[in-house]
Amino acid sequence: MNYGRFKKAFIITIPVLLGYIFLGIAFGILMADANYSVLQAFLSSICIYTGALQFLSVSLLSTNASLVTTFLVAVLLNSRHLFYGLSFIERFRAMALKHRFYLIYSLSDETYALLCSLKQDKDYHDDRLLVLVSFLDQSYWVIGTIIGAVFKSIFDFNTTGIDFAMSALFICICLDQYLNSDQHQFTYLGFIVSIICLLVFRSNFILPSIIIIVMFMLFKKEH
Amino acid sequence: MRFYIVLLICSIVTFSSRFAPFLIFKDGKVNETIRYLGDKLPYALMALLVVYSLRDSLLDISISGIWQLAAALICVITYVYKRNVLISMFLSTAFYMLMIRLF
Repeated sequence: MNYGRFKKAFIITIPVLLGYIFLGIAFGILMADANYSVLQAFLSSICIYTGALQFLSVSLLSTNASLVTTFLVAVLLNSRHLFYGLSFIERFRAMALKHRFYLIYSLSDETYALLCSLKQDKDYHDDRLLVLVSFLDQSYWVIGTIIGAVFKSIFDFNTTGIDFAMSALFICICLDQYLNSDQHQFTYLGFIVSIICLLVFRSNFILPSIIIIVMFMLFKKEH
Repeated sequence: MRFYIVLLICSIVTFSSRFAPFLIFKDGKVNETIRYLGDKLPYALMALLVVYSLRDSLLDISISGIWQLAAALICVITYVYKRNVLISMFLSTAFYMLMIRLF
């Protein structure tokens, strides 16, 4: 293990460290609060490894949402990943298979941002450095998840209302998108369509909302 | 059991979305419609998810619903000021958890 490389990777991932640990803890607590085991929380963070979708999955499970809804929302939520990969096609192609596999699998939002910032770095060619950066990010997330789940399981402190954390997360992401863009019409479209569908369809409003939103966008694209 | 089915669906979808660019779009060219949707959809989708997470307070009038909307407002205001996800999440969630216990 190259100490110099590890130290560099760690320093690079410091901005992500606190964020992922605390968010991971919140997720772990949320899972334990919904009566899932530490193992299940762990599996979620290993297999899915996407903050928003993991938080959402807890809610989808507790409201017994249909598998079709779950699948569609997952697809749309993850559509941004298509673009992440496009930015690194050539760089990842130049790697050994096992490195390439892990880097693609662990390409989360934060890791993507970090790797982008490394493009100008003199060590960007170092495959192992990139793998280490991705691995550290994921370990922060998984460790946070385990801490949260274990803590809640053992001490079982009253966490009524903690599910609001998911709302807060989504509000922040939505607000961040809004504030960083000069085209707000799609955000407005999303709010208007979903609120109307909510009032009309009540608890089953997700699917109709998605369908109508996509239809509107395809229509807008042609005109 | 249902947990594992949902886990499987979410895992496969996430996995596929991350690997898709490297398998399908080999030369880096993406179908124009997919690119357009992938670019613009997240905005509308995130709005939908915000409405989804606040649906209870929007459908029926209740004390907890009012606190939920108040906490949402706090989240918005603190985020606009600090642009820090953790701070906004912490403050608004703590506020909500405190209020539903007091009233």
